[in-house]
Amino acid sequence: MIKKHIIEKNTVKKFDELGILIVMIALFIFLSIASPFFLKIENIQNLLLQSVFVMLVGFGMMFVLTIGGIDLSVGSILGYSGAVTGMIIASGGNIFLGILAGLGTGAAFGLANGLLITKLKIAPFLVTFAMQSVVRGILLLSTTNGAVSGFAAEEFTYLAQGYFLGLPIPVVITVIVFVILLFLFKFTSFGRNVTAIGSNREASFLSGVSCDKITIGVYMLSGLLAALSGILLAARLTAVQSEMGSGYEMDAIAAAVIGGTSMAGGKGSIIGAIIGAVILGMISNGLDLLSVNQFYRQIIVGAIIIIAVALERFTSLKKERV
Amino acid sequence: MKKRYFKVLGLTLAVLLAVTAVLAGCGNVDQPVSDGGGTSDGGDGTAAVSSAAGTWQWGDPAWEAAVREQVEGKTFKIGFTPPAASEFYDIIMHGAYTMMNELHDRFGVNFEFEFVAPSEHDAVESQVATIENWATKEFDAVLVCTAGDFDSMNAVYEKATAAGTAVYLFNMPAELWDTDTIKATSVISYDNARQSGYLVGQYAAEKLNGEGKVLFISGNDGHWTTSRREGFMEAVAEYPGLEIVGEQRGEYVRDEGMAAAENLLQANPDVDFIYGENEEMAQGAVQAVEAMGLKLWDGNEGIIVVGADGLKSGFEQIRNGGLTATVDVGSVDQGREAIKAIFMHELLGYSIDKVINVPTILVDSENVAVPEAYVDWALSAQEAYN
Amino acid sequence: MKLNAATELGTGKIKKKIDRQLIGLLIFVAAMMVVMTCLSESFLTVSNLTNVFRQSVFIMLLGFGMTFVLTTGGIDLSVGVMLALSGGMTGWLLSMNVNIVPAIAAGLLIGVLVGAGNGLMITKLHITPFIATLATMSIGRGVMYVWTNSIPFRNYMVGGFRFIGQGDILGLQFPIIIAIVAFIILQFVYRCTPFGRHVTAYGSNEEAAKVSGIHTDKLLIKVYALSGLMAAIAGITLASRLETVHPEMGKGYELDAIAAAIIGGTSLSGGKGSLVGTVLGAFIIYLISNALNLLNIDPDWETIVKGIIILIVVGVEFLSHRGKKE
Repeated sequence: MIKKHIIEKNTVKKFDELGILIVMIALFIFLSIASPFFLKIENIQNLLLQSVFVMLVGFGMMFVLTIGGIDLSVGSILGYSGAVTGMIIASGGNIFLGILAGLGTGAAFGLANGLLITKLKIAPFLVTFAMQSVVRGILLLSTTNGAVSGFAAEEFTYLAQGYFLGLPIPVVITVIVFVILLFLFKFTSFGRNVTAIGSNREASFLSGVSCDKITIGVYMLSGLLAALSGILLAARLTAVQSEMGSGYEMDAIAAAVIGGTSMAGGKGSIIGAIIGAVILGMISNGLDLLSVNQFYRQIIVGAIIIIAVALERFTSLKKERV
Repeated sequence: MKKRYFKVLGLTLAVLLAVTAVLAGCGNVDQPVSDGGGTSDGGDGTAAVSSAAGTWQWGDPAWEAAVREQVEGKTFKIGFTPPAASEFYDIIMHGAYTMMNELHDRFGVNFEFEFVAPSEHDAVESQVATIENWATKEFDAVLVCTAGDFDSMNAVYEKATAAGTAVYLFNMPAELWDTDTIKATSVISYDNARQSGYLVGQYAAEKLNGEGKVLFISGNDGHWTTSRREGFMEAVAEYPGLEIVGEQRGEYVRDEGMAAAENLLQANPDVDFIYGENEEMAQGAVQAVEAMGLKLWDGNEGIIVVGADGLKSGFEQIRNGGLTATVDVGSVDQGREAIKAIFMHELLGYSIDKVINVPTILVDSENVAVPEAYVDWALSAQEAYN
Repeated sequence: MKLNAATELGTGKIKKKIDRQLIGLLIFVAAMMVVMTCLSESFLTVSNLTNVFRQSVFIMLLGFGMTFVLTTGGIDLSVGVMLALSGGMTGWLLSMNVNIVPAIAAGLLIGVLVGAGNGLMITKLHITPFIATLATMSIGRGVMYVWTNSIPFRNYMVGGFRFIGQGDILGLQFPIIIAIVAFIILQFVYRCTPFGRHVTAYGSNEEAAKVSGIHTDKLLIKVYALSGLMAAIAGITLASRLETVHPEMGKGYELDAIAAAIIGGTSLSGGKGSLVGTVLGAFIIYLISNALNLLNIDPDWETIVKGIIILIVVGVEFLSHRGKKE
C-alpha cells in the first residue's frame, strides 16, 4: 500500500524541484542585494567553480540514494583517483592515459563496493564505511613522502583553470555530465530500474529486474563520478594530499537530499542535486562576501539548511493536500 | 498554486533579511571595535600595547613623521585564514592585533581585518574558495596558513596576486620547499625541523643522558608532522642510546592522543620519554600516564612528556608538573611579524625576505614565566586599529 | 490481527538472525584474542582489556542511543555535537563554581533538549532525520565555537567530578560502570517495555504502527531525546576524563557510533536492533586500534587494516549465516 503510494507520487509530481528552486532564487536575489561583489563576473565564475566538485559527487550520490543505498567512500575515492592521475602524469605518462587510469580507479573501487554489497549482502553503509578507510589508507601510503605533485602540465591544469566561453572548464564538463546523466536517469531502463529498485526491491526482483547488476552499476557510477571530481580537483590544486576529499561524502549527501532525493530510496532528482550543490556553494560564498563572523558560520549553514528543506516540505505537503 | 510560490519566495526573503539583521549584529563581534567601545574599553589594551612600555620598534621622529605622511588615513584590508579556529591560531591573531594597534597609533594607518577558518582542518579546497572570494572583494593582502602544501596552493596564490591581493603565509614549514617555487610574497614562520622537533630531541638526550626509550605521537599526516619528525629524528639519531620504541598517530586531538599513548604504554610501560607533536596530544599522553598509575617526571625520574605549541593550557600544565616541557613556536611573533612585513612591503615599499623565521623557545618549569607573559600580553590586546 | 501475527513472526526471524550475527562477532573476537595473544604478551592482560573497554565506553554510550534511533529507521548525526554541548555545559558551570549536581543535571538537560529538538524537527517540520541532525550538527558545532571562543574550557576539575571519568569502584573504572548500568537499563527498556516494542514496530512498518494507535510523533521525539541523553552522559564522562572541553570534542564520533551499532547487527533501514551487538561492535572497533598500536603497525597501514577488518567482521557474519542455511 505504501509502496504504491510512493510510485504514484513519483509519477504525479513532476516539478518536485520547484520549491527548492525558489529557495535558490531567493538566496540569489538576496545575495545580489546584500553584497556589491556578488554579481561580479569573477565571483559568479568562482561560485560555479566552487560548487561543481561537490555537484559531481552529488550526482553519483543521488543515484546511490535513489536505489536505497549510501556511499561513504566517495571522498576517499575522489582523493585517490586524483592521486593516481597525478602520479601517472608526474612520472611522464600521457595525460590522457593518466585521466583514464584515474577514472578506472574510481570505477574499480565502485565495482568493489557493489560486489561486496550484492554478493556478500553486507549493508552499504558498512561496506562503504570500510572502503573509506581502506582507500584513504592507500592514499596515505602513496603520500608518505609528501603530497603527490609535479604533474602541473599546462594541458592538464587547463582542465580546471581554463575557461570556455567565459565558463570555467570544470563547469562545462559538469554540464555535459549532467546532460548524459539526465538522459540515463529519465530515458533509459537503467534509470527507471534504479528508481523501481529503490521504491520496492522485492517487486522489481520478482518482475525480472536484475537488481544486483543495476546496484553494481550504480556504485560504479558513483565511483566514476567521484574520480572525475577528484581529477578536476587535482588539476585545480596541482597537488594531491593525503586528506584530499575527506568530508565530501557529507556535502554530496546533503546536496542530493536538499535537492529532494530521499534517503530511503525510490525518489531522486538530478536537477535537485545541482540546486542543492549550488545552494551549499552560495551559502559559503555569501558568508565570505558578507564578512560573517567565523564563529557564527556553522550556525548559519545549519539554520539555512533547515529553512530550505522545511520550506520545500511545506510547499510539497500543501500541494499534496490540494 | 503559483501564488503560493510567491508567498514562499517572500517568506524566504523575509527570513533571510531577518537573518542578516541578526548577522549584522554578530558580524560586528569580529569587526574592529566601534569608536565608542574602542576608546573606552580598548583604552587599556592600547595603553599596554604601546606608548611608554617600550614596545616601539622605531624611534626616529623624522622617519616616523615621513611615514605618517605617506600612510595616514589609508585603510588596508587584510584577510586571515588559518586551517582551524583554535587556541593556537587565536594567539597568532592576537599577535597580529598588537602590531596593527601599534601601527595605527604610530602612523595613523587603518586596518580592516577578517578571519575565516574552514570547518575541517584539512579542507584545503574550502580555503582556496575563501581566498578567491577575498580577491573578489578586493582585499589588499591575505594571511594564509593551510594544511595544503605550497604546490596545491600556488595556483590560487597566483590568481589572487594577479587580482591585486598580496599573499602572505604564516606558520608554514617553508624549510620543506625550494623558496623559489613559493608563489606567496613572503612566509612568516619558524623552522619546524630545526626550531621545534630538533629542540625536543636534544632536550630528551640532555634529560636522559643520551639513553632511554622514546614514544612518538604524531599528528595528521602532513607537512608539519613531516618536518617536526625530521628534526626530532635527526637529534635522536645523534644519540645511539635513544631508542624509538613506538610511533602512532593522535590526529592532533586530546582523546586520540590519549588513546594512542594508553595503547603504546600497555606494550611499553618502561618508556622514559613521550613526544606529542602538539600540546593537545601531549596533554592526552600526560593523562594516559596518570591514568595507568605510572610516574610523571619530577625533575629526577619518571616519564618525561614534551609537546609543542606554547598554549596557555600547556604553560599551566608545566607549572603543575604534568607536562614536562613544550616548544613555544613564537605564535605571538608570527602574528606581529606578518603584519609588520605586510606594512613594510606593501605600504612602504621596502623589500622583505622570502622566508622570515621568528624565534622559538623550549619551555620547561625553569623558564615558563617568560613565554607565558608574552602570550598573556598578546591575548589581552583589544582590537583598536581603525 | 493478521498483521500482528505477521510482525511477530517477523521479529522471531529477526531475533534468530541477530543471534547468528552475535555468534559471528564472538567468533571474531575470540579469533582475534588468540592471534593477538601469540603476537603480543601485553595484549591478554586484565589491564589492557579494561583499558580497551574504557576507551570504547564513549562510542558505546552513543551507540546505545543510536541503536534506538536506527531501529526506528532514522539516523542521528548530531550525537558528537550533543556530547560536546553537554560536556561543555557541565564543565562551564563547574568552572563558575556551580555545585557538581546542578552542573551535571544541566549537562544532561542540554542533551535531552537538543535531542528533543531533533525529534521535533523531524516530526513537526517533516525534515528527514539525516538533514535535521546534520543541521543540528552544524549549528551545535558553531555554538561550541561561539561559546568557547575557540579556547577550550578547562580548570573545572573538582574532586567529585574527577571521579566520574577517572575514579574506580572495586577496581572497576567508573566509566565502565556507567556503561554497564546504562546497558542494563536500556536492554530492559528495549526488550520489556511498550516503548521498546513500539520503537521496533515503528521501524518495521511505519503505517502499521500508526494504524495500531501508536502516537508516532511522541515516540520519535522520545527516541531522539534518549539519543541526546546518552550523548550527554558520554559527554560529561568524557569531560571528566579529558579534563578539558575542546570545541571540536566528539567530532566524527557519530560515524563510529553508527558503525558500532551496525557491526552489532542493527539495521540502517530500521526495525531491527541489538544492544548486545552494539556493545560488541564498539568494543571491536577499539580492540582493532589497540591491537594495531600494540604491534606498532605503521600508522599509514592502520587505516587500511581497520577498514579491511571491519569487512571481515561482517563477512564472518555472512559466512556463519550461509553455513546455517546449508
